[in-house]
Amino acid sequence: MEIRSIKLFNFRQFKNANIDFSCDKEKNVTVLVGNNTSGKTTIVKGFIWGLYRINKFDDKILLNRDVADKLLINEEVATKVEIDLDHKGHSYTIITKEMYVKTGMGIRVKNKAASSVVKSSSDETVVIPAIKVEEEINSILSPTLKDYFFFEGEDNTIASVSKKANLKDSVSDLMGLKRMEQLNEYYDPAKADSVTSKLKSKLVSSDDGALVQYIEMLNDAQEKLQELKDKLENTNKTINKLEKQYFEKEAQIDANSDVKVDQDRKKKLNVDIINGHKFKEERFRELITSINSSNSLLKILFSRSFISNDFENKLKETTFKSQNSLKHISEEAIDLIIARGRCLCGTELKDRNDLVNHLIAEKEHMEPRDFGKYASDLLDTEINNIAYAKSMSENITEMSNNIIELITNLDTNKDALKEVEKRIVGRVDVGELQEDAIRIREQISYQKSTADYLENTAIPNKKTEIENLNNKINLATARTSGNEFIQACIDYAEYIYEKTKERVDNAKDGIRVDLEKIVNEIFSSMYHGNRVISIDKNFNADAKLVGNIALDKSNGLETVKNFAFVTGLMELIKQKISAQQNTNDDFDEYDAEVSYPLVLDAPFSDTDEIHIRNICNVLPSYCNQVIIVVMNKDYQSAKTAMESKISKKYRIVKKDNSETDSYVEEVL
Amino acid sequence: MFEKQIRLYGKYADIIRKYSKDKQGADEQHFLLDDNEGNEKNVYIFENILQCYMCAAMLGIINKKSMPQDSNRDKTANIFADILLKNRGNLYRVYQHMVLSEETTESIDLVVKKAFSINIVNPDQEQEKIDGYVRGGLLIIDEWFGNCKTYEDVANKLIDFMYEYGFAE
Repeated sequence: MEIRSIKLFNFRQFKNANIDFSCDKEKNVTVLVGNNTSGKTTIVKGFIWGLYRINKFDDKILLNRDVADKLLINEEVATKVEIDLDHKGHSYTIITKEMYVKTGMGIRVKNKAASSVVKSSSDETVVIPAIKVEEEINSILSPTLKDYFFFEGEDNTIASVSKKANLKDSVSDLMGLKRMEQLNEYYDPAKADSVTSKLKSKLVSSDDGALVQYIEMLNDAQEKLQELKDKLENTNKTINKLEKQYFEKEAQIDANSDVKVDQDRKKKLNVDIINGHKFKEERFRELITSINSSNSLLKILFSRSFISNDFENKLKETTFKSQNSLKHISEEAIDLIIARGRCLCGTELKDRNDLVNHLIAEKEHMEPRDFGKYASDLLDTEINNIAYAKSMSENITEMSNNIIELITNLDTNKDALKEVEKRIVGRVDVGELQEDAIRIREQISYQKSTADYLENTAIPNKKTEIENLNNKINLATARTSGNEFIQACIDYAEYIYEKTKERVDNAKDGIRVDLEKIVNEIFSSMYHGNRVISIDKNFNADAKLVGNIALDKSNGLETVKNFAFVTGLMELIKQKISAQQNTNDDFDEYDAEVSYPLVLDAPFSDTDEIHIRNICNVLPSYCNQVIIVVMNKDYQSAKTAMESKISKKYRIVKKDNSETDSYVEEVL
Repeated sequence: MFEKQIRLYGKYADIIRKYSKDKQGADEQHFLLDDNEGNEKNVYIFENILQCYMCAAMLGIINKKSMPQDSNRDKTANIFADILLKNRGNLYRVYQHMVLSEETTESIDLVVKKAFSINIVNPDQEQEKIDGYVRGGLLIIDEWFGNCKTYEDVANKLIDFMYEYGFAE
């Protein structure tokens, strides 16, 4: 299959676009360069709609909006895609058309999409009958295989190709194993509706009751086995689906690794801000407690007053001296002694003699008029207080400074948060993606253990049970001539089964080995490092470090791996065709002229420049025809490596920057 | 002295309530700060009205700032006698600072006697003198903190306050 051209009429943004693709064997690359929303993806999806009538757009109305707006009520118009291609020595023109009509309610589909095919060779031109159109198109490229050749960059990307759920079947299909596999299944004795099983039900027993019972048990066991196999297949499909999801999550995580740093910072800033507020209020409360506890502020003010008013010198001037203090004696005691007229020592006290006057004078140095002591106490207290006041002043100042620092940090963090929030607005939450990835990984692990149990325990056990039942049936079977004939048929059917199984298994293993070899050859020319690609029995490719260690799945590397896988698959088909010409194979026939295009939308997103160059160096050598729709910036990275292989280049342009009117022009 | 309840009136009642935790809320006297999240938070400087009273008195004494009573009697702030009784030591220390710092022609011995005498001559007059300094001190407190809008403002004011009245270097 080689695409010569595509024409788009009233198809989405394109009112009338005509693109011829390179069919040059040497310069086999066509490049279409366009900005966002110019219609790049529309062109790739146009192929899929044009060939298979699969509408991959969110808006199911394909009619150009400008054209739709200008329609009158009841007026009809068609949207159309016309593809010219060559395949196996024939030229095809495939036209797919959908009719629209304007009603009072708006634009409606009048006639659903339908295709017509004109097939011509050097001898004749045939219009394929409508009833055969789908079959004819599918014979060119089966719709199940289209995803390996048309990468529209949204649901189907190069980055996800090796994780496709139906990969095993697709490779079988591509490699021509399908027919042999179907034959093998037809004779599979484990299947209740196989030739072998049906023959067994015809056997006649000498003891009818036992044989019937065994056959019923056998049928039952075969049904159970089929159920287990179906369950295994579904589990494997689920695993593939989950692995695809896991890979997509990882790819998203990789693609958003820059935002992860900011999102982590945002979380940390939010925590810091919450803590900042909390600490600020806590420290403020501590500060106020400190001011109030033990009358700290009051003591500071006492000290300030003491120093400012120079109480120390002032109090030294008083004649009340603490050394004159008569502690433990009170004025009342002296008054009592004078009143009784005799001192404690026995001396008689007479009215107003010297002794009495002396005692009266001494009253100035005792309670409650011990002023010398009082003044001295105040001096001592305040002098001691100064050291405390200094320490508290510094403490209060330091605590206040801490609060200011906390608030400054808080403001800085708030400003930083605003900046970070500005940067990550509208971006995905990588933390959530990581949680999703972990959850999916756990599901994969669970499903794998289920698959392992089914494959290695439940199914083998059931097979043993079937084998035992078969032995019992053989023993119970009457040795009649009829039975002998049926048994011979059964033996022969089993022989066919074994032989076809051997052929399919050998072919698959051969394909797996060959594919792994080719893919690694291509991979090593695209990627320079100590990594190899391993391909398992289900044809899933995985890049591993040499030594079988799983590789960190950076998106760029995944893309390189998958490019290698796809181009490897194509190369293998070519080699198979070449070998076919010299052998008489039982497998599906190939035509020597068969070839396939590779149509890619934005294949290099999230891929670094070095890998883009490496891919572009290698890709055209392995593919028959390469059609790349790409953003200008990615084209610049690919240009140098690919320029010598580019035969046609187009620009996709939005007319007057309109979202509904784009055109394609060739760049000469 | 300090045996009967003390009562402040008018704007002085407002100020002492505003900065004292135990008197806030009774008549909407709040010291509100912006908490940096756009919310107003009620804070205080003094944990009780007596702390504020004594510190205001000392500020009035240090700054020799005494103010007459506010004639507006609608608003009051009381300090009850039992509180005064429990804090007589500090209250008398305030009184001693007041007496000792007064400018007078009297001898230092007479001043000392007055400061430390148990039987205060004309206690009501002395009480009013202290309350005058309290009022002056309350105005000083309000000048320091009245314009504070944020925690940062209060912290900055406290630092300045410690330079002015404390011993921070």
